[in-house]
Amino acid sequence: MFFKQKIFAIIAASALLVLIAVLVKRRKLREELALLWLITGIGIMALVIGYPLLEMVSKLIGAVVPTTTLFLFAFLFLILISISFSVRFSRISDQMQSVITEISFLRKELEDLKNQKQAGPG
Amino acid sequence: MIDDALIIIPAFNEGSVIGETMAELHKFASKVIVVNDGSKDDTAQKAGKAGASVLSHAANLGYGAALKTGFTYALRYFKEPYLMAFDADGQHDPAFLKSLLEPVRAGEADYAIGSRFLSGPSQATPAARKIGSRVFSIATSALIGQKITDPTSGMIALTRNVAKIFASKFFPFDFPDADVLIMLSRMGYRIREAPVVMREARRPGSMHAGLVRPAYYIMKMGVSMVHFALRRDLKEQRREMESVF
Repeated sequence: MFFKQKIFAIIAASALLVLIAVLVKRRKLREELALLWLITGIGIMALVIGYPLLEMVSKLIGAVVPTTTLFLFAFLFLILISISFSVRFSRISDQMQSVITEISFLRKELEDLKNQKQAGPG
Repeated sequence: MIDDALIIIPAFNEGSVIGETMAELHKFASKVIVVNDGSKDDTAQKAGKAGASVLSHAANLGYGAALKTGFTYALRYFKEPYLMAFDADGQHDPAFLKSLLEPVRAGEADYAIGSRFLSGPSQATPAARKIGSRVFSIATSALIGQKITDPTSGMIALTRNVAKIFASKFFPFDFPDADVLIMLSRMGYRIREAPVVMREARRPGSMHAGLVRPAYYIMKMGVSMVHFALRRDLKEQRREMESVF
């Protein structure tokens, strides 16, 4: 890996880690969601700093150039993150549906009560 | 007059036709729940004026979600032993509700589906829908080992126990049809088809219009059908869900 490539990768990974830390601190990113991004940043950093590790992994997966390994792992992490979002989105959709359903029942009960009240006793 | 079944009508922007549909329906059934699925028009007011019990979603969730709301409401607040679903756009002929309910009432089926293909050839069905329906009909019949001619029909009659499944997490948001039949069959429910007549909808525009939605529908339905066909725990799920409510 060229020196310039290494520097750029370290800067990018550091910026990602700082950004996540700031977002978590400001409560704009929940810790459980930040976890995946932290793993991504730390993973990139580990592979760049520990160059022999990168070379070993490259050999293991049959990549000719170590940068390919970096890109491959970055891509895999992005896929994992997308799947994680899809799972969360499915759960939130279910929760939203339940909430909307319950609101419709409450609205109906309220309307029925109003109508009963307007009709008066007896 | 049907008075032992609740009729559930999911409706989205059906203000121009719901009054007419309700007026016709009231000749055959007395208890109707309209689920207004986040309509932008006066669907809820028109349905209420026409004598329906109206539930309103705060946002548009989809046909399946509206049905689910209706079934959940019926299970929670009513005691009628049977439930039915009916379209708001006037495509379904309410004269066939009684014959559709008959096998469920007689205890011969837990779920009855109205088939336009059992009542003669002159049905108002677009060619693309006919082809799609035929493909899903072959696949569904093969997967459940029972001939189903119209798996995409929305005119159905069911017992309270089946409604409990419809009110559960297993019921799809958007287009519940062939996949639901496979799920119910694998759960051990008895399914029957009854001939019904489908007419031209009173309002133009279908949820299957365009290119993207039908493509999404076919792919989603394919995935959903395979999912239910491969599951081995559906009978346990049935027991668990029937114990709710």
